Amino acid sequence: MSSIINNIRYAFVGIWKNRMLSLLLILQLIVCFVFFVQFINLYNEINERSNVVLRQYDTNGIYFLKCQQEEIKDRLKDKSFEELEKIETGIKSFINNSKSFSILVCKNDIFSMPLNNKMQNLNLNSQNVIIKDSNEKIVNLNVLDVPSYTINMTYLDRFGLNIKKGRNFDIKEFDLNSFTEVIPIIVGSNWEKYYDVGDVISIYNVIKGENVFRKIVGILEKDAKLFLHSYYTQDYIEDINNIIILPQLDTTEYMNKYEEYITQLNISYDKNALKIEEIVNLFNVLIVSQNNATKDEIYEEFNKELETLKLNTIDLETIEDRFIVEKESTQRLMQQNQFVFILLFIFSFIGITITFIVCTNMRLKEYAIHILNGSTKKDIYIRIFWELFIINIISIIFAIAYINVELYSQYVNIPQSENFIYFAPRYMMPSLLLNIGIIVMVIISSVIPIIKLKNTDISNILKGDD
Amino acid sequence: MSYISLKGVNKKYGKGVNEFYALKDINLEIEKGDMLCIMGASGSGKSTLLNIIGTIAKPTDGTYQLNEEDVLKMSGRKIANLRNNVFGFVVQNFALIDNYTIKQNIEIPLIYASIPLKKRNTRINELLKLLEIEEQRDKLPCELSGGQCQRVAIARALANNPEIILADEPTGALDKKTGEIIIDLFDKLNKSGITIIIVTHNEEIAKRCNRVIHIEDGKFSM
Ligand SMILES: Nc1ncnc2c1ncn2[C@@H]1O[C@H](COP(=O)(O)OP(=O)(O)OP(=O)(O)O)[C@@H](O)[C@H]1O
Ligand SMILES: [Mg+2]
Repeated sequence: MSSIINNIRYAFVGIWKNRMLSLLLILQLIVCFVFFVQFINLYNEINERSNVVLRQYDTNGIYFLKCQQEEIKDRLKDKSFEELEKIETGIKSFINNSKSFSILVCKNDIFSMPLNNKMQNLNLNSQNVIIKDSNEKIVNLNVLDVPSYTINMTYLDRFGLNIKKGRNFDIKEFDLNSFTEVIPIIVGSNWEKYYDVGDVISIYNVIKGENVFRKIVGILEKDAKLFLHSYYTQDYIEDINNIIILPQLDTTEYMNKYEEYITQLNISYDKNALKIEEIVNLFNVLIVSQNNATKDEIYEEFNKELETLKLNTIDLETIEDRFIVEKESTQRLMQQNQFVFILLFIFSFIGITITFIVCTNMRLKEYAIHILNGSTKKDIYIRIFWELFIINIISIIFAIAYINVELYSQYVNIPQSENFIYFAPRYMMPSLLLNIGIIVMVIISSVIPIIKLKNTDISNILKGDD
Repeated sequence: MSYISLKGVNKKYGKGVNEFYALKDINLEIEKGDMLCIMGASGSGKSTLLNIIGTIAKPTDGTYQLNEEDVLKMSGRKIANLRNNVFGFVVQNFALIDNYTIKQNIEIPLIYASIPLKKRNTRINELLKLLEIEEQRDKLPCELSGGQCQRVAIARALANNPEIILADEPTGALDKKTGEIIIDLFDKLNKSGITIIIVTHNEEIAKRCNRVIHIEDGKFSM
C-alpha cells in the first residue's frame, strides 16, 4: 500500500522535476491525439453532417438544379451578346413567374462595417479601406469583415428567422421599386451591444465599392439557425452571432452594378463570357416547389422552357442526393490525404518514443539512487508507467478541450446542447483506440531503459556519473 | 555464526577476453558492533566488496549471509528494506540527485520508511544540524562544495538509524578537521552498537578501527 503511494508520489515529483521533458511529451501527445481524433472524426463527420442538416430542416420539396455548367457554356459560346441577353431575360422571367416553384436564396455576401471604438473586442478581421464620402472626399476607414448573408422572400416563407428584438423583413422590403426608405437589415445577437433596433448604420459594400446606409429592423436570437444549402458552407460561418442579414433586392440592378464595378477597375474582360457566367449562375440555385407541384411536374415545366431557349435539359436533385454527391467527393479527398495523416501520426509516435527513451536514460542515476535508498527495480518500472499514465491523462484532457473548442467553433450553427450529445459518442472510439495505442507505445518504448536497468548493477550506474 | 558472513565470493566483470575478476574467493566474517576498515590500492576491489555487502552489486558466485539469512535468496522487496533501514550507505561519489534539493535528497529513505511528514521534517533538521549543513537545506547539490555534498550523503545514510554503516571513503573530500568530526561521529555510533565498515586510504582512520583488512588485486592480504 505504502509502496503504491510512494510510487505515485515520486511519479509526480519526477514529472515536476523534469518538467521541460514532461511538457515536451505532453505536447507531442496532444498533437498525436488531435491528429488521431480528427482523422477519425473526419470520417464520421462525412456521414453525419448531412444528417444534422436534414434533421433540423424540413427539406421536402427543395431541389437543386443539376446543371452541367460546361455543356451550357458550350452551347452558348457562339451566341451574340444580344442573343445571350435575350436568353437571360427569358430564363429570369420564367423563373420569376413560375407557378410551380420559386427560388430560395441564402447566400454569402461581402460587406464590411466601419469599426467604431466600441467594437474592438468583436472577434472579426479588420482592414483599412480608402473610399470617397458623399462630398467626393477621400477618407480612410478601418472596417470589419462581417459575415453577411442575403435571403429572399422564399427563404423567409420557408424557414423564417428567429427574431429576438424588433421585427422580420416585410414583403415590400424585397422589392426595390416599391420601396423608398433606407434598406433594412437584421443583425446577429452580438451586435446588440453596439446597436439598437431603429439605428441607421453605414456599411461598406466591397463589390460595389461604396459606403451605404442600412437600417437595423431586428436582432436575431442568440445562436439562431440559418439554413445553408451546401454541405460545405457549414464551415464558413465562423460565428452566427456576428452575421448581418440583408433582403435580396433585384438581381439585375445588382449585376449592373457589378459590371460597373469591373469597368471601374479597368480590367479588360470578355463581355460575352461574363454574360454566359451570369446565365450559368441563374441555374446555380435552390428551388422550392409551390402549389403542391411534384418534382416531375417542375422538371417538365423547366425543361420545356429550356427547349424553347434551345438549351439542354436540366435535372432536379433533392438535398439528400446533393449531400450524397458532396459526401463522396469529400471521401475521395480524405482518401488522398489519408497517407499524410498516417505519416504524421507515425512521426509523432516516433517523436514520443524517442523523447521518452532519452528522458528515462537521463534519469537512470536518479532511479539508481532511489534503489540505493530503499526502492526496488520493480517499483521503478511501475513508477515509469505511472508517470506516463499521468502525462497521458493530462494530454488527453488538453486535447479534448482543444478539440471541443475547435468543433464548437465549427458547428456554431447547431445549438450547443445538441452538439454535446451529437459528439460525445464520437469520442469513445478514438479515445479508446488511442489509449490502447499509447499503452502499446509505452510498453515498446519502456523496453530499452527497463532492460538497461535490469541488467546493470546499481553500483555501476551510480559510479558512471563522475 | 557471524553477523555478516561472505563465503567464496567472486565478482567477475566483462566476458571472454575482457573477463576480469575484481574479487577473488573472498571470505569475510564481520561481528555485530565491529568497526572495520578496508584498505588497499586504487582498483584493488574495495568499493566492489562494499557494494556487494550493501546489496547494490551481486557477486558472481559465493554466499552472503546477514544475521543468518541468505541475502542472495531474499525477495527484491526485502533487500530494498535492508537498504532502506539496515544499511546506511555512503557511496564513493556521494550519489545525490542533481535536481532534488538537499532536503529532498535526505528525505528519500525516510519516505520509503513511511515516516509521516512531521517526524520526517524533525529528523531532517536533526541530521542537517548534526552535520552542520542547515544553511544548505534548500540548495541543489551543484551549489554545494564537495565536502558539503559528502556530509549530505552521510546525513542521508544516517537517516533511518541503520544497524550497519557502509562508508566508501567518507572523508575523501573533507579537510582534516571535518574528517575528524565525522570519524568521531562514527566512533560514537559504533559505541552505541552500530556496525561500521569504512573504506579508506587514511592511516589515521584505520588506527581508530578495531579491525583492518587489506585488499590487493581482489584478494585479502596481510
Ligand atoms: N563495471 C565494471 N566493469 C569492468 N571492470 C570494473 C567495473 N567496475 C570495477 N571494475 C574493475 O574492478 C576493479 C575494482 O574496482 P573498485 O571500484 O572496487 O576499486 P577500488 O578499490 O574501490 O578503487 P578506488 O580506490 O580507486 O576507489 C578495478 O580494477 C576496476 O577496473
Ligand atoms: Mg572505490
